[in-house]
Amino acid sequence: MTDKTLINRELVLKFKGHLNFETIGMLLNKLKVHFDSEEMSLLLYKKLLTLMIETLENIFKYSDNFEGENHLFPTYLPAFTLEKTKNKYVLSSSNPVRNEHVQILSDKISCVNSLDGDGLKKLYKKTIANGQFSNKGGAGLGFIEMAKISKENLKLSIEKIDEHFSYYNLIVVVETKSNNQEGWKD
Amino acid sequence: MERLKIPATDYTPEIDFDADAWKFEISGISRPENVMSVYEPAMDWLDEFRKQVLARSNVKYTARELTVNYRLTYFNSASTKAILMVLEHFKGFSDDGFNVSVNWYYDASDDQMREDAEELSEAVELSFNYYKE
Repeated sequence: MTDKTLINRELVLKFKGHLNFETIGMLLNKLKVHFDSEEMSLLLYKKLLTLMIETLENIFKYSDNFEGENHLFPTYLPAFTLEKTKNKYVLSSSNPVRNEHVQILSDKISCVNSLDGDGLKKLYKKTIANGQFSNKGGAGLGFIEMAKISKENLKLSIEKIDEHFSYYNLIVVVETKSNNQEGWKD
Repeated sequence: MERLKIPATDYTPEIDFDADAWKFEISGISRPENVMSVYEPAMDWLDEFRKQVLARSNVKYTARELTVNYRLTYFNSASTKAILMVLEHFKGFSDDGFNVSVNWYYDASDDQMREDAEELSEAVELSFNYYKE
């Protein structure tokens, strides 16, 4: 079924390949160029910046899990797109995930999707107070941060590749104008 | 004690801790590749500073104030926990009876930064002064 909200999309950014810290910086610079060329509020820019950093760093921090699995590439290389519709920006990120991690990811996203703004704030506070760093420095806050900013459900889809890997896709949407943006000036 | 001055990079904040002035500043962007490599030296420095201060009984419990200034323009979620851990060091001084003034400066248009700071303030149980710039 076609999602009508995604018709008439303008491609702002597209990347497919292995991500490293410098590549993320390059993509963020491209977002800045887009910000400079658009009539976009600083608030919206910072939302997009945060969402991009969180999604791209998720891929980067997970990349050890599929490093050297050359049979996955180029079909299932990590990918990121940022698209613009009339009222929204749509961020899509994809990368291979180990099948044993699919349920954990799905549960985390279901959890943040089930919470309203207050629930997300409580979970955020609980996580910063109790959360530990993962080996790559993740603090378990990324999906919560995304849900807080997006105010829409995070959309996860999983395509099974083989008995070891699946291809994860996460879509995060942010409105170009939000209720709390009234009175905003560039 | 020697001043701790770590310059900013495109991805990491400037850290400037002045043991003579009792002034502690963290400013800029925080999205380091390795979060702890940035904040661990700051926490180690604060541990040493606290040890030296507490060893000087004439300084302990005086009215002298620690001024902590945050001027972060952006921090990623991976930095959040480390920023909280640094704040917990300042909370330690507060628990010891020192006056600790945490000043959080943020862009007037950046409501998200204010909200994030309020959540950190609640988590560390230390009140912040907020200043729009």
